[in-house]
Amino acid sequence: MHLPVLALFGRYFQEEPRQIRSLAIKAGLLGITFLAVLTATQTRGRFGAPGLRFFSSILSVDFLFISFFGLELFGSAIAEEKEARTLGLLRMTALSSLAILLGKSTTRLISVLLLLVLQFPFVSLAVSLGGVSLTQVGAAYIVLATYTVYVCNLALLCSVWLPRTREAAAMTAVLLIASMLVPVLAPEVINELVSRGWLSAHGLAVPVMREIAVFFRDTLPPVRFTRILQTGYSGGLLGWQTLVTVVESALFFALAWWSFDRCSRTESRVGPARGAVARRTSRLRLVSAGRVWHRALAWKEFNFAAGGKVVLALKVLAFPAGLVLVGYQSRSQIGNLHEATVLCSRVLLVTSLLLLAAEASFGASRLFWDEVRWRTLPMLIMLPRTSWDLARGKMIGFLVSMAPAAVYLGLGLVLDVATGCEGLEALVDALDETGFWFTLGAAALVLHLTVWFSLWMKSGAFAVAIGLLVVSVSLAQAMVAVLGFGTGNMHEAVFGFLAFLFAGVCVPLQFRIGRTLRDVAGEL
Amino acid sequence: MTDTTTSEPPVTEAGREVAIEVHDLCYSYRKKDALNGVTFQVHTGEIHGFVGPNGAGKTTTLKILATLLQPQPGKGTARVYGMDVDQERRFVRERIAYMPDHFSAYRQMTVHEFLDFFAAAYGLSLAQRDVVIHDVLRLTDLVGRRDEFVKSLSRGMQQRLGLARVLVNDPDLLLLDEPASGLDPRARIELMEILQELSGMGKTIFISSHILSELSDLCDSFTIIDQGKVRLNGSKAELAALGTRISEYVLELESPCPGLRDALGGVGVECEAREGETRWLVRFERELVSTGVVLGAVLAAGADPVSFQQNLTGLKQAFMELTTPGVD
Repeated sequence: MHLPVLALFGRYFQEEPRQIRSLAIKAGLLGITFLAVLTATQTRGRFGAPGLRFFSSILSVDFLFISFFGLELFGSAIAEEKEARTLGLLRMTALSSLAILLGKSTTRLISVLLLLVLQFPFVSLAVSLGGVSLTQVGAAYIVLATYTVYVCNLALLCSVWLPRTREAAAMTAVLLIASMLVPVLAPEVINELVSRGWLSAHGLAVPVMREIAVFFRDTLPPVRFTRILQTGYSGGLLGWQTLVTVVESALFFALAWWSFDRCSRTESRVGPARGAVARRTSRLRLVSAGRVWHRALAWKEFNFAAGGKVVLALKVLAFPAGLVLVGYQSRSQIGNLHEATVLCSRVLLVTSLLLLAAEASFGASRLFWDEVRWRTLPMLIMLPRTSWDLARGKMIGFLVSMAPAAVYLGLGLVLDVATGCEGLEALVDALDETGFWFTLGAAALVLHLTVWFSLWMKSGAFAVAIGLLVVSVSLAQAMVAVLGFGTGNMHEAVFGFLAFLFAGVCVPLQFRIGRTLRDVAGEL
Repeated sequence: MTDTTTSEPPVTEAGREVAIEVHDLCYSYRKKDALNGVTFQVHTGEIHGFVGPNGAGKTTTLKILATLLQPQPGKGTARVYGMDVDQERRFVRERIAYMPDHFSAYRQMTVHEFLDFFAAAYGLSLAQRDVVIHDVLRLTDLVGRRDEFVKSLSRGMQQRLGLARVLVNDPDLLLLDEPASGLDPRARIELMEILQELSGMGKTIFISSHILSELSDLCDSFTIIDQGKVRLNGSKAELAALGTRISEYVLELESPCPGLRDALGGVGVECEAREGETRWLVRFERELVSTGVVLGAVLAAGADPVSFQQNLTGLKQAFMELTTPGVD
């Protein structure tokens, strides 16, 4: 008997292997595994338990991989059909709501789980390297698998509720972060409320709340990983975390199924979002886009791609708010003004650097992607400007939106210098001179590749760029290991050459991007 | 891209300036030929209809003229106001505007923001932008919609907004790809009226469309293209004279003439009219029957003609005769 849902499975598994994004992600993950194996074998003499170190690094990468790439992969399950206005067509077929949900989400889930299965034999090498048992490896992989199921179903729910992949991914990210933070912060909040007398310590309420918070904290994958990787782990393959995560995932799926009909009746709001930018004629004209700047493209990107004045204000306020929160959390460790300043400078340096990296990658992946997606690129290309003028105008818009992070980075540096340059010294220790130039070259290459890929890839340009970089670095690392350049000046020479090569490749890439822009505009 | 400034537009022997000059242009997508030696001219100030079945090469030609597609090396030339669309594309872009066959706009913007953005992108000052935006909104009858979101406009209004957008840099040549497709009759008529107004302002308009009846009313000259080849390029009169085997005329009589059908049939003329009507549609083969013979037969039948005019649906006839059936 032919089940209609198999048509969705068939379509996905026919198309998925041909997608460059899919190939690059697989290659990237494999490259990271390879890199980790090499590092573990090279450093086995210097550190104890190389298998455990190797396995811990792989687990971290896999956890981050599922958390980041899963957002868009799983969040697009239903939202991509809404964006393409094909959900109505799907609903008119013999496919039931359940079949559509299963067909669209389970296929993605299977492809990620298959990746983990593929990785498992390589990771099992950790056992022979020493420091970790097969039970620990198996238990950790079961945690990863259930976490994947959890992210998949949470993102599916957001994908059903929200009209666009981007919004579904953002909502999933917010809920994931909340699900991690709430169980961690809840016991402290309860203690604080009790100490202020706002909650009574007597009675059942407080102990029960504490127990629930602790129970859910223990089911968090990072907490479970820590337990599993402890020396002498005697637990089994499964734990409470497995059951709780599966039940939560089932609830998310049931909720998605229940709300599917209601949320997919209308194909509304297909088109680019305006975000929090008000109209000039509204009462909130203070946060309107205002008149177009002399640099029109910068105005457009700042307001309609980077979020405009509202998002800028939120970024400006987020740093002091974060500082207050961290300061409050660490109040017991701060004894004087010097220590408070050191803490401030470190928080500012780390968060602003991370934010700048995230904003730069976001800007690169969105630079021309929206113009291609909404078929507005020909209008831009027709302007009497060069491709470089267009790119520069757009980049300025994103740079304006990055101003708060840049200002706080500057402030962090000033505070660091004033308190003895400890942060800068730590940075210099982490990155030697070659490492610094290599990082800059790699960042430039990733941003250029992301812009180029985003012109002809539906999604995942940044992921593919990172994947390619990881593969090339893995190959370079392998070359270093095989040729015996592992130590001394040769190692630096190889990575110095790579830094030069990465920066050099950016120049022809800029010409290629210009050419591809025109080609794509001609095809739209 | 060269930095040479533009030369004066070429002039034909008849002393007319040439806005578009395409010569022996070929273009292929992988193995499929889209254009196969396309040659035609469009004079300045004309409304030129570019007609052909689906897949004939209209959009490819338009995109090459709009500098969006790069002509393939050694495969013909395309010039706009004497400038090569590839070598001098930056200067070409300053003088042309292109409206694609699909409506594309920043739908999240308001009408004013959208036009203001393009006016600023073309380098207009704030004061110039205010004047230009007001003018184009008035021309396209969108003044009352300036603070509405683009996405909230009807299809007809969106098309008018698309036209307003291409007018902000005051181009000399408008390249319009199927501007009336998907519009209701009222919106189509309004759009055609705007195009006529623009033509009155001295703009050259190159318009591709499937709606032949409206094109025949609007355009001064035509190019019919089929399977990547130009089948006809000329003025409305040339189209009537050269392109069609069958001539179609409308004959208006003062009063009904019962014997007219037989009289016209006697000289080989087909006619359509009900008994007792004063408006006749007559068709005849140009090579076999002259208009003098037809008029002679009319007078001989005792009819009292008020007017005898060539029917503008000649474009439809030419289209049907010159293009290949079933092309897609």
